[in-house]
Amino acid sequence: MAGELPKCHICGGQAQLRLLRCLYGTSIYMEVCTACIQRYDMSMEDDLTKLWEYSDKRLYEPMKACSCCGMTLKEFLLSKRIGCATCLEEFSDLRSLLENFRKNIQDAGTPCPKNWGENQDYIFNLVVSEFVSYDRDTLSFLKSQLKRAVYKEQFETAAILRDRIRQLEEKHS
Amino acid sequence: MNSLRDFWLKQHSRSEELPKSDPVLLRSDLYLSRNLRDLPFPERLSSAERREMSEKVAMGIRKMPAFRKSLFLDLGILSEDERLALQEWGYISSLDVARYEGSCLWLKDDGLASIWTGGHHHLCWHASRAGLCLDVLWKSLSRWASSLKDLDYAFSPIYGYLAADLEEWGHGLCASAVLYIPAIVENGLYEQTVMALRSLGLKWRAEYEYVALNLLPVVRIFYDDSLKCSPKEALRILKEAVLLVADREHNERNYFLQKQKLKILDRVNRSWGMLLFCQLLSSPEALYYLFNLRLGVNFGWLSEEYASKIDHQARRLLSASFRIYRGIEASQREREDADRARYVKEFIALGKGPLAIIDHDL
Repeated sequence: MAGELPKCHICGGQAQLRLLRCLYGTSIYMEVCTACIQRYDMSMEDDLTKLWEYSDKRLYEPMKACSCCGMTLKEFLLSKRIGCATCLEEFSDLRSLLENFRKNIQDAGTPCPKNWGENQDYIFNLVVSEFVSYDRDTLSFLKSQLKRAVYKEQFETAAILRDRIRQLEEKHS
Repeated sequence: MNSLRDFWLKQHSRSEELPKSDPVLLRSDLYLSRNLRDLPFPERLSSAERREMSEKVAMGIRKMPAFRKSLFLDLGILSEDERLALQEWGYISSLDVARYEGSCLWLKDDGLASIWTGGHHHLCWHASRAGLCLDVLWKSLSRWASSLKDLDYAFSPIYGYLAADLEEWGHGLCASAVLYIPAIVENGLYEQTVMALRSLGLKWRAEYEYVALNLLPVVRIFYDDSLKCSPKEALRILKEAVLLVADREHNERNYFLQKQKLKILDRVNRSWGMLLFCQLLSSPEALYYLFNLRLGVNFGWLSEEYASKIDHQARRLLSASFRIYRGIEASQREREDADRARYVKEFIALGKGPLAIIDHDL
Protein backbone atom coordinates (compact mmCIF):
# COMPACT_ATOMS: atom_id res chain seq x y z
CA MET A 1 0.00 0.00 0.00
CA ALA A 2 1.77 3.03 -1.31
CA GLY A 3 0.11 5.43 1.12
CA GLU A 4 1.69 3.71 4.11
CA LEU A 5 5.23 3.84 2.77
CA PRO A 6 7.50 6.38 4.45
CA LYS A 7 8.97 9.35 2.64
CA CYS A 8 12.61 9.80 1.67
CA HIS A 9 14.39 12.10 4.14
CA ILE A 10 16.25 13.80 1.31
CA CYS A 11 13.86 14.31 -1.56
CA GLY A 12 10.53 13.59 0.09
CA GLY A 13 9.70 10.88 -2.47
CA GLN A 14 8.80 7.29 -1.75
CA ALA A 15 11.45 5.60 0.35
CA GLN A 16 12.74 2.13 -0.47
CA LEU A 17 15.37 1.70 2.23
CA ARG A 18 15.50 2.20 5.91
CA LEU A 19 18.88 2.79 7.51
CA LEU A 20 19.48 2.44 11.19
CA ARG A 21 22.06 4.18 13.30
CA CYS A 22 22.78 3.36 16.92
CA LEU A 23 23.71 6.38 18.97
CA TYR A 24 24.05 6.20 22.77
CA GLY A 25 21.84 3.13 22.74
CA THR A 26 19.12 4.92 20.76
CA SER A 27 18.07 3.63 17.37
CA ILE A 28 17.69 6.43 14.90
CA TYR A 29 16.04 5.54 11.60
CA MET A 30 16.32 7.27 8.30
CA GLU A 31 14.33 6.39 5.20
CA VAL A 32 15.79 7.08 1.77
CA CYS A 33 14.99 6.24 -1.81
CA THR A 34 17.43 4.43 -4.10
CA ALA A 35 17.27 7.37 -6.52
CA CYS A 36 18.83 9.67 -3.90
CA ILE A 37 21.53 7.16 -3.16
CA GLN A 38 22.34 6.88 -6.87
CA ARG A 39 22.15 10.65 -7.31
CA TYR A 40 24.75 11.17 -4.62
CA ASP A 41 26.74 8.20 -6.00
CA MET A 42 27.00 6.55 -2.62
CA SER A 43 28.24 3.07 -1.93
CA MET A 44 26.99 1.04 0.97
CA GLU A 45 30.28 0.96 2.85
CA ASP A 46 31.88 4.38 2.74
CA ASP A 47 29.54 6.98 1.50
CA LEU A 48 26.50 6.35 3.61
CA THR A 49 28.16 8.43 6.29
CA LYS A 50 27.75 11.32 3.87
CA LEU A 51 24.06 10.59 3.84
CA TRP A 52 23.94 10.81 7.60
CA GLU A 53 25.93 14.01 7.50
CA TYR A 54 23.45 15.39 5.02
CA SER A 55 20.62 14.36 7.30
CA ASP A 56 22.37 15.81 10.36
CA LYS A 57 22.93 19.05 8.53
CA ARG A 58 19.25 19.28 7.79
CA LEU A 59 18.35 18.42 11.34
CA TYR A 60 20.91 20.37 13.32
CA GLU A 61 21.94 23.29 11.16
CA PRO A 62 19.17 25.65 12.30
CA MET A 63 20.01 24.86 15.91
CA LYS A 64 21.76 27.61 17.82
CA ALA A 65 25.07 27.26 19.62
CA CYS A 66 25.20 27.21 23.43
CA SER A 67 25.07 30.73 24.80
CA CYS A 68 27.76 30.02 27.42
CA CYS A 69 30.42 27.96 25.60
CA GLY A 70 29.38 28.07 21.93
CA MET A 71 29.09 24.30 21.54
CA THR A 72 26.69 22.97 18.90
CA LEU A 73 24.88 19.66 19.04
CA LYS A 74 26.93 18.44 16.10
CA GLU A 75 30.13 19.08 18.06
CA PHE A 76 28.74 17.08 20.94
CA LEU A 77 27.87 14.17 18.65
CA LEU A 78 31.40 14.11 17.31
CA SER A 79 33.31 14.60 20.56
CA LYS A 80 30.88 13.05 23.07
CA ARG A 81 31.84 15.85 25.47
CA ILE A 82 29.67 18.74 26.52
CA GLY A 83 31.04 22.27 26.71
CA CYS A 84 29.42 23.54 29.91
CA ALA A 85 26.52 22.97 32.27
CA THR A 86 24.30 25.33 30.26
CA CYS A 87 24.43 22.99 27.23
CA LEU A 88 22.21 20.58 29.11
CA GLU A 89 19.55 23.25 29.60
CA GLU A 90 19.72 24.63 26.08
CA PHE A 91 19.60 21.51 23.91
CA SER A 92 16.46 19.44 24.16
CA ASP A 93 17.89 16.82 21.76
CA LEU A 94 20.92 16.42 24.02
CA ARG A 95 18.63 15.84 26.96
CA SER A 96 16.75 13.09 25.14
CA LEU A 97 20.01 11.36 24.17
CA LEU A 98 21.22 11.55 27.74
CA GLU A 99 17.94 10.24 29.09
CA ASN A 100 18.60 7.16 27.05
CA PHE A 101 22.18 7.03 28.27
CA ARG A 102 20.93 7.14 31.86
CA LYS A 103 18.25 4.53 31.18
CA ASN A 104 20.92 2.21 29.81
CA ILE A 105 22.89 2.60 33.01
CA GLN A 106 19.91 1.74 35.16
CA ASP A 107 18.67 -1.12 32.99
CA ALA A 108 21.93 -2.86 32.29
CA GLY A 109 23.64 -2.05 35.56
CA THR A 110 26.69 -0.93 33.62
CA PRO A 111 27.85 2.67 33.44
CA CYS A 112 27.74 2.93 29.69
CA PRO A 113 27.74 0.80 26.57
CA LYS A 114 30.85 -1.37 26.45
CA ASN A 115 32.03 0.06 23.15
CA TRP A 116 31.78 3.61 24.45
CA GLY A 117 34.75 5.62 23.30
CA GLU A 118 36.61 2.66 21.85
CA ASN A 119 36.46 4.00 18.34
CA GLN A 120 35.34 7.54 18.01
CA ASP A 121 34.90 7.20 14.25
CA TYR A 122 32.13 4.74 14.80
CA ILE A 123 29.90 7.13 16.66
CA PHE A 124 27.82 6.91 13.51
CA ASN A 125 27.23 3.20 13.55
CA LEU A 126 25.72 2.06 10.33
CA VAL A 127 23.81 -1.14 10.55
CA VAL A 128 23.44 -2.33 7.01
CA SER A 129 21.24 -5.28 7.86
CA GLU A 130 18.26 -3.09 8.66
CA PHE A 131 16.98 -2.64 5.11
CA VAL A 132 13.29 -2.91 4.62
CA SER A 133 12.05 -4.31 1.38
CA TYR A 134 9.46 -1.80 0.37
CA ASP A 135 9.58 -3.03 -3.24
CA ARG A 136 11.63 -5.16 -5.60
CA ASP A 137 14.00 -2.27 -6.41
CA THR A 138 15.61 -2.89 -3.03
CA LEU A 139 16.63 -6.39 -4.07
CA SER A 140 18.26 -5.22 -7.28
CA PHE A 141 19.90 -2.36 -5.43
CA LEU A 142 21.30 -4.74 -2.84
CA LYS A 143 22.62 -7.00 -5.57
CA SER A 144 24.40 -4.11 -7.26
CA GLN A 145 25.89 -3.13 -3.91
CA LEU A 146 27.00 -6.72 -3.33
CA LYS A 147 28.88 -6.69 -6.64
CA ARG A 148 30.46 -3.40 -5.72
CA ALA A 149 31.49 -4.65 -2.28
CA VAL A 150 33.07 -7.78 -3.76
CA TYR A 151 34.87 -5.70 -6.38
CA LYS A 152 36.25 -3.46 -3.61
CA GLU A 153 37.17 -6.53 -1.54
CA GLN A 154 34.95 -5.40 1.34
CA PHE A 155 34.02 -8.92 2.28
CA GLU A 156 32.40 -8.20 5.64
CA THR A 157 29.91 -5.85 4.04
CA ALA A 158 29.45 -8.33 1.21
CA ALA A 159 28.57 -11.08 3.68
CA ILE A 160 25.92 -8.90 5.34
CA LEU A 161 24.47 -7.97 1.96
CA ARG A 162 24.49 -11.60 0.81
CA ASP A 163 22.55 -12.71 3.88
CA ARG A 164 20.06 -9.91 3.47
CA ILE A 165 19.52 -10.74 -0.21
CA ARG A 166 18.92 -14.39 0.71
CA GLN A 167 16.35 -13.39 3.32
CA LEU A 168 14.54 -11.14 0.88
CA GLU A 169 14.53 -13.76 -1.87
CA GLU A 170 13.10 -16.36 0.48
CA LYS A 171 10.44 -13.90 1.56
CA HIS A 172 9.45 -13.10 -2.04
CA SER A 173 9.42 -16.70 -3.15
CA MET B 1 59.45 28.14 50.74
CA ASN B 2 58.16 29.13 47.33
CA SER B 3 59.49 26.51 44.96
CA LEU B 4 58.78 22.84 44.52
CA ARG B 5 62.39 21.94 45.35
CA ASP B 6 62.35 23.86 48.63
CA PHE B 7 59.06 22.21 49.48
CA TRP B 8 60.48 18.70 48.99
CA LEU B 9 63.74 19.51 50.75
CA LYS B 10 61.81 20.79 53.74
CA GLN B 11 59.67 17.69 53.79
CA HIS B 12 62.73 15.46 53.63
CA SER B 13 64.50 17.29 56.46
CA ARG B 14 61.62 16.63 58.86
CA SER B 15 62.42 13.84 61.28
CA GLU B 16 58.92 12.39 61.21
CA GLU B 17 58.37 8.76 61.93
CA LEU B 18 57.46 6.98 58.71
CA PRO B 19 54.10 5.19 58.68
CA LYS B 20 54.27 1.43 59.16
CA SER B 21 54.25 -0.30 55.81
CA ASP B 22 51.97 -3.09 54.69
CA PRO B 23 53.47 -5.99 52.67
CA VAL B 24 50.90 -5.57 49.89
CA LEU B 25 48.93 -2.33 50.27
CA LEU B 26 51.17 0.61 49.52
CA ARG B 27 48.95 3.64 49.22
CA SER B 28 45.38 4.90 48.81
CA ASP B 29 44.47 7.91 46.68
CA LEU B 30 41.15 9.71 46.30
CA TYR B 31 40.36 12.32 43.65
CA LEU B 32 37.22 14.43 43.83
CA SER B 33 36.34 16.68 40.92
CA ARG B 34 33.91 19.57 40.57
CA ASN B 35 33.10 22.13 37.89
CA LEU B 36 31.62 25.58 38.23
CA ARG B 37 28.20 26.34 36.82
CA ASP B 38 28.60 29.56 34.87
CA LEU B 39 31.84 28.81 33.05
CA PRO B 40 32.68 26.58 30.08
CA PHE B 41 34.39 23.34 31.10
CA PRO B 42 38.24 23.49 31.15
CA GLU B 43 38.75 22.27 27.56
CA ARG B 44 36.89 25.30 26.27
CA LEU B 45 38.41 27.83 28.65
CA SER B 46 40.86 30.39 27.32
CA SER B 47 44.04 31.07 29.35
CA ALA B 48 42.58 34.32 30.65
CA GLU B 49 39.31 32.63 31.65
CA ARG B 50 41.25 29.84 33.32
CA ARG B 51 43.27 32.37 35.29
CA GLU B 52 40.09 34.18 36.27
CA MET B 53 38.52 30.92 37.42
CA SER B 54 41.62 29.97 39.45
CA GLU B 55 41.57 33.37 41.16
CA LYS B 56 37.92 32.92 41.96
CA VAL B 57 38.48 29.59 43.70
CA ALA B 58 41.76 30.73 45.27
CA MET B 59 39.82 33.09 47.54
CA GLY B 60 38.00 30.12 49.03
CA ILE B 61 41.04 27.84 49.19
CA ARG B 62 43.06 30.38 51.17
CA LYS B 63 40.37 30.36 53.85
CA MET B 64 40.51 26.58 54.25
CA PRO B 65 42.45 25.79 57.46
CA ALA B 66 44.04 22.66 55.96
CA PHE B 67 45.50 24.63 53.04
CA ARG B 68 46.48 27.78 54.90
CA LYS B 69 50.17 26.83 54.84
CA SER B 70 50.03 25.21 51.41
CA LEU B 71 52.48 25.74 48.57
CA PHE B 72 50.92 27.60 45.64
CA LEU B 73 52.21 26.74 42.15
CA ASP B 74 51.23 28.43 38.89
CA LEU B 75 51.60 25.56 36.41
CA GLY B 76 51.90 27.94 33.47
CA ILE B 77 55.25 29.29 34.70
CA LEU B 78 56.74 26.02 35.97
CA SER B 79 59.47 24.28 33.99
CA GLU B 80 58.72 21.14 31.97
CA ASP B 81 60.65 19.05 34.52
CA GLU B 82 58.68 20.44 37.45
CA ARG B 83 55.40 19.63 35.73
CA LEU B 84 56.66 16.12 34.97
CA ALA B 85 57.63 15.66 38.61
CA LEU B 86 54.16 16.70 39.70
CA GLN B 87 52.72 14.15 37.27
CA GLU B 88 54.98 11.46 38.72
CA TRP B 89 53.62 12.23 42.17
CA GLY B 90 50.02 12.02 40.88
CA TYR B 91 49.16 15.63 41.73
CA ILE B 92 48.38 16.53 38.11
CA SER B 93 48.00 14.66 34.84
CA SER B 94 49.35 15.24 31.39
CA LEU B 95 47.81 18.11 29.36
CA ASP B 96 48.76 20.10 26.28
CA VAL B 97 51.31 22.71 27.31
CA ALA B 98 48.95 25.54 26.38
CA ARG B 99 46.35 24.25 28.79
CA TYR B 100 48.67 24.65 31.78
CA GLU B 101 48.42 28.42 31.28
CA GLY B 102 46.36 29.77 34.15
CA SER B 103 46.11 26.36 35.79
CA CYS B 104 47.16 26.28 39.49
CA LEU B 105 48.06 23.76 42.15
CA TRP B 106 47.92 24.02 45.94
CA LEU B 107 50.05 21.48 47.78
CA LYS B 108 49.30 20.86 51.44
CA ASP B 109 52.35 21.31 53.68
CA ASP B 110 52.70 17.56 54.32
CA GLY B 111 52.41 16.79 50.58
CA LEU B 112 49.53 14.39 51.21
CA ALA B 113 46.79 16.52 49.68
CA SER B 114 46.44 18.95 46.82
CA ILE B 115 43.93 21.00 44.87
CA TRP B 116 44.36 21.40 41.11
CA THR B 117 42.37 24.03 39.26
CA GLY B 118 41.84 24.26 35.51
CA GLY B 119 43.06 20.75 34.64
CA HIS B 120 40.51 18.24 33.43
CA HIS B 121 38.03 19.87 35.81
CA HIS B 122 37.70 23.32 37.29
CA LEU B 123 38.60 21.89 40.68
CA CYS B 124 40.13 18.58 41.62
CA TRP B 125 40.97 17.60 45.20
CA HIS B 126 43.45 14.85 45.81
CA ALA B 127 44.27 13.12 49.07
CA SER B 128 46.72 10.32 49.56
CA ARG B 129 47.91 8.19 52.47
CA ALA B 130 50.02 5.10 53.09
CA GLY B 131 48.11 1.83 53.47
CA LEU B 132 44.40 1.40 52.89
CA CYS B 133 42.45 4.17 54.59
CA LEU B 134 39.79 5.19 52.10
CA ASP B 135 37.16 6.24 54.65
CA VAL B 136 39.49 8.65 56.42
CA LEU B 137 40.52 10.20 53.11
CA TRP B 138 36.90 10.51 51.98
CA LYS B 139 36.02 12.26 55.22
CA SER B 140 38.75 14.87 54.66
CA LEU B 141 37.89 15.33 50.99
CA SER B 142 34.18 15.80 51.54
CA ARG B 143 34.92 18.24 54.36
CA TRP B 144 37.24 20.29 52.14
CA ALA B 145 34.82 20.24 49.21
CA SER B 146 31.92 21.40 51.33
CA SER B 147 34.02 24.16 52.90
CA LEU B 148 33.96 26.00 49.55
CA LYS B 149 30.29 26.84 50.01
CA ASP B 150 30.29 30.06 48.04
CA LEU B 151 31.09 28.32 44.78
CA ASP B 152 28.17 27.37 42.57
CA TYR B 153 28.92 23.94 41.13
CA ALA B 154 27.53 22.57 37.85
CA PHE B 155 24.96 20.16 39.15
CA SER B 156 21.95 18.38 37.73
CA PRO B 157 19.41 16.65 40.00
CA ILE B 158 19.31 13.73 37.53
CA TYR B 159 23.00 13.28 36.72
CA GLY B 160 24.75 14.74 39.77
CA TYR B 161 27.87 16.90 39.36
CA LEU B 162 28.54 17.59 35.69
CA ALA B 163 31.78 17.35 33.73
CA ALA B 164 32.74 17.56 30.06
CA ASP B 165 33.08 13.78 29.82
CA LEU B 166 29.76 12.00 30.31
CA GLU B 167 31.46 9.12 32.08
CA GLU B 168 32.57 11.44 34.85
CA TRP B 169 29.09 12.65 35.78
CA GLY B 170 27.75 11.79 39.20
CA HIS B 171 29.51 12.24 42.51
CA GLY B 172 32.87 12.88 40.80
CA LEU B 173 34.91 10.60 43.05
CA CYS B 174 37.71 8.39 41.76
CA ALA B 175 39.08 6.07 44.43
CA SER B 176 42.22 4.03 43.97
CA ALA B 177 44.71 1.87 45.84
CA VAL B 178 48.28 0.92 44.95
CA LEU B 179 49.30 -2.68 45.59
CA TYR B 180 52.55 -4.64 45.36
CA ILE B 181 51.69 -8.09 43.98
CA PRO B 182 54.83 -9.99 42.92
CA ALA B 183 53.47 -13.43 43.81
CA ILE B 184 50.25 -13.02 41.80
CA VAL B 185 52.27 -11.97 38.76
CA GLU B 186 54.98 -14.62 39.20
CA ASN B 187 52.45 -17.40 39.68
CA GLY B 188 50.64 -16.46 36.44
CA LEU B 189 47.42 -15.32 38.11
CA TYR B 190 47.50 -11.77 36.82
CA GLU B 191 44.97 -12.21 33.97
CA GLN B 192 42.58 -14.11 36.20
CA THR B 193 42.68 -11.39 38.86
CA VAL B 194 42.14 -8.66 36.27
CA MET B 195 39.06 -10.47 34.94
CA ALA B 196 37.65 -10.83 38.44
CA LEU B 197 38.19 -7.13 39.14
CA ARG B 198 36.67 -6.15 35.82
CA SER B 199 33.52 -8.07 36.67
CA LEU B 200 33.19 -5.87 39.76
CA GLY B 201 33.49 -2.72 37.62
CA LEU B 202 37.04 -1.96 38.75
CA LYS B 203 39.89 -0.83 36.55
CA TRP B 204 43.54 -1.71 36.81
CA ARG B 205 46.83 -0.36 35.52
CA ALA B 206 50.56 -0.61 36.19
CA GLU B 207 51.66 2.16 38.56
CA TYR B 208 55.07 2.62 36.94
CA GLU B 209 54.12 2.27 33.30
CA TYR B 210 57.64 2.51 31.91
CA VAL B 211 58.78 -0.66 33.71
CA ALA B 212 57.41 -4.05 32.63
CA LEU B 213 54.86 -5.46 35.07
CA ASN B 214 56.77 -8.72 35.58
CA LEU B 215 59.81 -6.71 36.73
CA LEU B 216 57.97 -4.22 38.89
CA PRO B 217 54.58 -5.65 39.85
CA VAL B 218 53.12 -2.52 41.43
CA VAL B 219 49.56 -1.90 40.25
CA ARG B 220 46.84 0.63 40.84
CA ILE B 221 43.26 -0.59 41.19
CA PHE B 222 40.65 2.09 40.83
CA TYR B 223 36.92 2.65 40.83
CA ASP B 224 35.74 5.73 38.96
CA ASP B 225 32.16 4.81 38.21
CA SER B 226 30.68 8.05 39.29
CA LEU B 227 27.05 7.62 38.23
CA LYS B 228 26.38 4.04 39.21
CA CYS B 229 26.49 4.20 42.98
CA SER B 230 27.09 6.52 45.93
CA PRO B 231 30.64 7.44 47.00
CA LYS B 232 30.36 5.27 50.10
CA GLU B 233 29.26 2.32 48.02
CA ALA B 234 32.14 2.97 45.60
CA LEU B 235 34.61 2.97 48.48
CA ARG B 236 33.10 -0.22 49.87
CA ILE B 237 33.43 -2.00 46.50
CA LEU B 238 37.05 -0.89 46.12
CA LYS B 239 37.93 -1.80 49.70
CA GLU B 240 36.47 -5.29 49.43
CA ALA B 241 38.18 -5.92 46.11
CA VAL B 242 41.53 -4.66 47.33
CA LEU B 243 41.36 -6.78 50.47
CA LEU B 244 40.52 -9.83 48.36
CA VAL B 245 43.51 -9.20 46.09
CA ALA B 246 45.75 -8.60 49.13
CA ASP B 247 44.54 -11.82 50.73
CA ARG B 248 45.26 -13.71 47.55
CA GLU B 249 48.71 -12.14 47.32
CA HIS B 250 49.49 -13.25 50.90
CA ASN B 251 48.46 -16.83 50.09
CA GLU B 252 50.40 -16.85 46.86
CA ARG B 253 53.48 -15.46 48.61
CA ASN B 254 53.53 -18.39 51.03
CA TYR B 255 53.30 -20.78 48.11
CA PHE B 256 55.86 -18.73 46.18
CA LEU B 257 58.26 -18.82 49.13
CA GLN B 258 57.95 -22.57 49.65
CA LYS B 259 58.50 -23.25 45.98
CA GLN B 260 61.25 -20.79 45.11
CA LYS B 261 62.93 -19.77 48.35
CA LEU B 262 66.47 -19.94 47.04
CA LYS B 263 65.58 -18.03 43.88
CA ILE B 264 63.96 -15.20 45.84
CA LEU B 265 66.77 -15.04 48.35
CA ASP B 266 69.21 -14.82 45.47
CA ARG B 267 67.21 -12.02 43.89
CA VAL B 268 67.12 -10.05 47.16
CA ASN B 269 70.86 -10.47 47.72
CA ARG B 270 71.73 -9.55 44.16
CA SER B 271 69.58 -6.42 44.42
CA TRP B 272 71.28 -5.49 47.67
CA GLY B 273 74.68 -5.93 46.08
CA MET B 274 73.76 -3.97 42.97
CA LEU B 275 72.45 -1.05 45.00
CA LEU B 276 75.54 -1.04 47.21
CA PHE B 277 78.14 -1.21 44.47
CA CYS B 278 76.65 0.28 41.31
CA GLN B 279 77.97 3.60 40.04
CA LEU B 280 75.15 4.54 37.69
CA LEU B 281 71.54 3.80 38.49
CA SER B 282 68.57 4.66 36.27
CA SER B 283 65.14 5.24 37.72
CA PRO B 284 63.51 1.94 36.54
CA GLU B 285 66.53 -0.03 37.79
CA ALA B 286 66.42 1.67 41.17
CA LEU B 287 62.73 0.84 41.58
CA TYR B 288 63.26 -2.77 40.47
CA TYR B 289 66.07 -3.41 42.97
CA LEU B 290 64.37 -1.54 45.80
CA PHE B 291 61.13 -3.47 45.42
CA ASN B 292 63.14 -6.71 45.42
CA LEU B 293 64.54 -5.62 48.78
CA ARG B 294 60.99 -4.90 49.91
CA LEU B 295 60.13 -8.51 49.12
CA GLY B 296 63.07 -9.51 51.30
CA VAL B 297 61.57 -7.45 54.15
CA ASN B 298 58.24 -9.22 53.77
CA PHE B 299 59.94 -12.62 54.06
CA GLY B 300 61.81 -11.49 57.17
CA TRP B 301 65.28 -11.31 55.64
CA LEU B 302 65.65 -7.57 56.07
CA SER B 303 64.78 -5.11 58.78
CA GLU B 304 61.15 -3.81 58.81
CA GLU B 305 62.20 -0.18 58.55
CA TYR B 306 63.42 -0.73 54.98
CA ALA B 307 59.88 -1.25 53.66
CA SER B 308 58.69 2.15 54.98
CA LYS B 309 61.84 3.78 53.63
CA ILE B 310 61.41 2.21 50.21
CA ASP B 311 57.73 3.25 50.02
CA HIS B 312 58.72 6.75 51.06
CA GLN B 313 61.60 7.03 48.58
CA ALA B 314 60.18 5.23 45.53
CA ARG B 315 58.49 8.24 43.90
CA ARG B 316 61.37 10.51 44.85
CA LEU B 317 63.67 8.38 42.68
CA LEU B 318 61.58 8.81 39.53
CA SER B 319 63.36 10.73 36.79
CA ALA B 320 61.92 14.23 36.94
CA SER B 321 61.26 14.15 40.70
CA PHE B 322 64.86 13.16 41.40
CA ARG B 323 66.25 15.87 39.13
CA ILE B 324 64.16 18.52 40.87
CA TYR B 325 65.03 17.16 44.29
CA ARG B 326 68.80 17.14 43.62
CA GLY B 327 68.87 20.24 41.41
CA ILE B 328 70.05 18.43 38.26
CA GLU B 329 69.23 19.55 34.74
CA ALA B 330 67.36 17.25 32.35
CA SER B 331 70.29 17.08 29.92
CA GLN B 332 72.74 15.76 32.57
CA ARG B 333 71.63 12.14 32.35
CA GLU B 334 74.91 10.59 33.53
CA ARG B 335 75.16 12.92 36.50
CA GLU B 336 71.58 12.09 37.39
CA ASP B 337 72.23 8.33 37.33
CA ALA B 338 75.46 8.67 39.30
CA ASP B 339 73.77 10.85 41.89
CA ARG B 340 70.87 8.43 42.16
CA ALA B 341 73.28 5.54 42.76
CA ARG B 342 74.98 7.54 45.52
CA TYR B 343 71.69 8.60 47.08
CA VAL B 344 70.26 5.06 47.19
CA LYS B 345 73.54 3.71 48.56
CA GLU B 346 73.38 6.17 51.44
CA PHE B 347 70.06 5.01 52.76
CA ILE B 348 70.63 1.34 51.96
CA ALA B 349 73.97 1.13 53.71
CA LEU B 350 72.52 2.41 56.99
CA GLY B 351 70.89 -0.90 57.87
CA LYS B 352 71.86 -4.50 58.13
CA GLY B 353 71.91 -6.33 54.80
CA PRO B 354 70.42 -9.71 53.96
CA LEU B 355 73.85 -11.39 53.57
CA ALA B 356 74.01 -12.05 57.29
CA ILE B 357 70.83 -14.10 57.17
CA ILE B 358 71.64 -16.82 54.66
CA ASP B 359 69.45 -19.83 55.33
CA HIS B 360 71.75 -22.85 55.62
CA ASP B 361 68.84 -25.32 55.60
CA LEU B 362 68.10 -24.72 51.94
